[in-house]
Amino acid sequence: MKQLTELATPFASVADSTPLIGQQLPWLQSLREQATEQFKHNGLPAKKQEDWKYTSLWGLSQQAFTHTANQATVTTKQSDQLALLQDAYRVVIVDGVFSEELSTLADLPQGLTIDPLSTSIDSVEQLLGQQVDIAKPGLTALNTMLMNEGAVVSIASGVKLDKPVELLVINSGSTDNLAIHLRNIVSLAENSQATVIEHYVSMGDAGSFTNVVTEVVLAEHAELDHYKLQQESANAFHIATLAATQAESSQWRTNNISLGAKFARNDIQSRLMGEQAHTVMDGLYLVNGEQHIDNHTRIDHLVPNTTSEEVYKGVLDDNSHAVFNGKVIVHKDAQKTDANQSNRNLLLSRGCEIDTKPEMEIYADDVKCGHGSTVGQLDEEQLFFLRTRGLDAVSARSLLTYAFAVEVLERIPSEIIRQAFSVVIEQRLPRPSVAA
Amino acid sequence: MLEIKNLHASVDGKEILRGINLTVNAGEVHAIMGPNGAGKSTLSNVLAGRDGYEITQGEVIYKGENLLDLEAEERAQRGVFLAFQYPVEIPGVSNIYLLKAALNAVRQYQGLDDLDAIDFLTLVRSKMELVKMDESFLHRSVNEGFSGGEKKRNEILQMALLEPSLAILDETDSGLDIDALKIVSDGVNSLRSKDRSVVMITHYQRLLDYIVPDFVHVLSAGRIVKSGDKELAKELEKTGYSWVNETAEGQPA
Amino acid sequence: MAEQQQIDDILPGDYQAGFVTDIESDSLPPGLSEEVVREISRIKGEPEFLLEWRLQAYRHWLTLETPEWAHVNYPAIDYQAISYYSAPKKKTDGPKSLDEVDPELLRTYEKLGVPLDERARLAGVAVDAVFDSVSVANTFQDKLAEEGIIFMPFSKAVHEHPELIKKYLGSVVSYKDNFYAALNSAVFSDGSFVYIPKGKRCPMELSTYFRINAANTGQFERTLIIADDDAYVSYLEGCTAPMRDENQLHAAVVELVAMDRAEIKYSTVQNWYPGDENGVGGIFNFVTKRAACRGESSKVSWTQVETGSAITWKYPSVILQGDNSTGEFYSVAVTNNMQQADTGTKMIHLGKNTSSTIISKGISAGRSQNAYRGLVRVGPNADNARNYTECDSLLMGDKCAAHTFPYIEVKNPTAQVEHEASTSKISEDQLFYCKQRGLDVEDAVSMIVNGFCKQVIRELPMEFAVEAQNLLGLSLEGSVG
Repeated sequence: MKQLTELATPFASVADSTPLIGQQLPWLQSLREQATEQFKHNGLPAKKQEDWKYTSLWGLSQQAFTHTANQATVTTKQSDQLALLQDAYRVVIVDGVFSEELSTLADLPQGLTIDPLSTSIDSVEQLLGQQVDIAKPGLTALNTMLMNEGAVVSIASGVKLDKPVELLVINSGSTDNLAIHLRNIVSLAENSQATVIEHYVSMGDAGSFTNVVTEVVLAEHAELDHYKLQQESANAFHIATLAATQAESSQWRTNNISLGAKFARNDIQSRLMGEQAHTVMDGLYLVNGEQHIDNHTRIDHLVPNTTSEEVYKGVLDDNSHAVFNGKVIVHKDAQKTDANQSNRNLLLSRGCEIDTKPEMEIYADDVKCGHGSTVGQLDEEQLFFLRTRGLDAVSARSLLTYAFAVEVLERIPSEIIRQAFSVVIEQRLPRPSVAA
Repeated sequence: MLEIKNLHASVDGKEILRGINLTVNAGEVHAIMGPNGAGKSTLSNVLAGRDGYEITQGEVIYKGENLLDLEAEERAQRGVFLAFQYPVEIPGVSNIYLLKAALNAVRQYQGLDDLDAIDFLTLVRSKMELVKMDESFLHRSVNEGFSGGEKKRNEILQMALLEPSLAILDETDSGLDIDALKIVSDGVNSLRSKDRSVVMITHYQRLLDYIVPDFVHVLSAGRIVKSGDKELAKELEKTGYSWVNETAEGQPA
Repeated sequence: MAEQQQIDDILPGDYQAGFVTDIESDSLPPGLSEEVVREISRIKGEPEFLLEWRLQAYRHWLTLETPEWAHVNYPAIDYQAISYYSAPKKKTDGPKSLDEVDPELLRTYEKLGVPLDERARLAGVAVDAVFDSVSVANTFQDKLAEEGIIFMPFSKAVHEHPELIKKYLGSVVSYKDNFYAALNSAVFSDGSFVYIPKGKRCPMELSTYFRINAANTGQFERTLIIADDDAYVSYLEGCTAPMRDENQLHAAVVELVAMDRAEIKYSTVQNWYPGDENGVGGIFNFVTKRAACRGESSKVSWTQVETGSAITWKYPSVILQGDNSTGEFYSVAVTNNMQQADTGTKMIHLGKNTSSTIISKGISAGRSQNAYRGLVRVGPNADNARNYTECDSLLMGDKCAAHTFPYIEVKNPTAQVEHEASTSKISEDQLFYCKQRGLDVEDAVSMIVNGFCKQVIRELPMEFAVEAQNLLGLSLEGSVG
């Protein structure tokens, strides 16, 4: 398949017909021009490219999208129901547009600022585009061309947030095949601490295309717990890039939970640029029907004495297809790197397919790196044990499937968030009820 | 309670049990001893209903029902409990969830309502005392990160909660230090009653000092070659198992 | 860094097979064309079908581009600067017995420790020696023939068993498979042919020693081994080349076919010249090796110890077609100085109840690059497929690199696939322990590395295992201070 450069044309014309934010800013104009050039040149990535070997954007290229949303009404009640957490600083974007009334940004504590990109674009020149490469095969160039909204979250030095920030991105279903291009920026100053949740959700089952780029910067000793929960409709295309830079002694824990969308692709990268920095990069994908999910992760150990841990798990059913690619790169002189990765997959039915590729590229010698990858079924011994305790075979299976999945939540420090996620997972993988 | 008649079982075409006959009445405690490879674990697995064993001859009657016709969970619901030699770890399933699911399964079979949260917790706590387990164990994943002794205590906790009619203890003493052995034994002893039978499978006599059996059987090469009372175990302790093998060879099929 | 200095002082490890044999040879002038392909076929007096096949391969090769996905770097190869045929001058059509083999050649193999004479009989190993493009000596042919076992140079088999060649050549590795396979198919010169008839266990190890001698010559050998129903064969392959400043190309193709319940064990100790410590010279080893477990319950086991070559690009693979068939891959790859290796395997599960095991040990030293690249694929009908992969890398020195690229593709829910990989440096504790017990550094390293590789080495036949252990020690001499 040749590169799908022809797709660049309809998207490029969007830029002419849609009012884009920040058109008066020369730096942004120049960035957008470069991105347009890149996108026209590269087109959509093709399977020939190693990072897109198992994932084809053909389906996306065959779908016509609109960039103009119809009027939508989402009530506060609906927004509350959709949100993962009730007690959070909530930023709500509906159909690609920031909703002030649904957001709860009135009483932000000192040191926390949350702004929609559309109103803060003139202040992000130093941050925007720093974490991502528009020349790489992918849709970052397209995002840069057309980004029109997003959340910009900053935590000041030494500030420790009392509750999480939830970015709730709602597709209301009012517009068929709506495409949105979001850019989020999360920056934590020295010694600050925060929890940020990106939450993508659809009402109804309209087709849609979400193309989001989230850029994260952690200064020295900053700590960020970051979660991404994707629950878009079964007709949605979801493409997300998440990239972080970590300074000395910073900690980034991220957990990427993919449940929805017809087609989803995540590119997640951490760059450990300061000593003693630590990344935890976990994820879970539960796919069924005809879903396709592709997670590409990459951890770059660039300096000595950094560590990373990664656990990705997948449960595949029906005719679904999942791809996992985890790169760990230990750069020259990044001695004393300790990196561990695991990817485990459970295949529940004929017709599903998993392609997994844990990779290590190591250019320093004093390192401890390992990865493991498994594809298999539920453990027969565990099944037998549960049956000797009186559970029937079906219950035992569903319990073990649920248990397999929730294990990726183990490292989440917040009990509340772990609970919230396990409820979400249980909706998808019901386990036998033991409620009194 | 349990009647095993001429039981033959094979794994991958190899005959392991070669004609077991054993009757266990209500309230009795039987110890089955024997050298490695005698078929001790096969017997406990066959009774509990593990897949992979082919029953070529014989039958097992439990409370008037043919046990071998039942699925593993059906046996459990009817009160057959197997304490595993190697308790299984189940990451992601908390102990309390398992206890509740198992208790519900048994109670549903008995036509009883599920216990409410408070009654359940009260019951569990009382049973935990029995095996001296800390409440924090309830919220940890089943056996994950447990020491050998903790795992075995956890098995006895489950037994105490489920109150089986027939408890099969498979090498419950293996890997236990003396303190843990005492806790486990106390747990088992406190559950002895006239309605409950226990089959203990063990390699060593040591356990029998703590849980004194009514009957002792020696299993060798897939058959019970000798039966007696607790004195038989002491004799075995002295003489070892070498004589047993000779006896077994000499017996007709 | 005193430690580094020490390393540099002791490097490079001795390449003991680096001498040149002074012998007259007949070579084709450098260059590749349809004419050259025809000429090779003419020299060998090949039947028409083989010439046609070569020409098809050549024409297909012209349409291909050099593969670039491997983690290796090298200057573009000028395929017109290579001579595609070189043979020691000989008086007759081929040696009838060892007495007719040029004594200079016999001495060459003697120096390499390859037994072609009486000693071979004692060693109980049948040997085919391939010197540049042709087979120069083949022992025990007659004795094996009594058992119905065919073990002879490929070019001879073309004449004596054309029906077998026609049936199996290219049946596992099509000339369309990849760039180097196409090139090999067009210009291959010789190699070994083995056929084990139904129900026969080959009574001795069969072995081929490959030697590149002439300058500016490519070596393109072709090996074909067929084990018919219930047959067994163990086959060994050794490779050496002189030290030269130019890179030389070695693009071999090996095809194995195992029928019902047949077993083939294929062992390689590859010690082509690796180039000097600055990366000058050395062999480009671009090899396609593949086995088809065509019959039910058949088994193929690849064992390789790769210490030589400037660049190794090699993925001995097994296609598990027959139900209950088994594939194994045991590999040690050592790179030092400027060597680059991108090696691994492919296990393609197609039949039911198939299983595969992959044990790969990579050792990088100097400024070398060492990559494991493997594919485990389970097709939709391959019920109950099992794979276990263990892939460990050892790093010695802070200028080398180790990479792991495992591809796992599963389309069957009854499959169980398990991959584990680790990378670390040689343990300081182990080194110190050995030193404290009085071992010098080199012996300690050699001991630890041999321990690290034990799972693989023990798969080798005895006489090869000893050679491999010595090679490991030599290749890594001085890598740790």
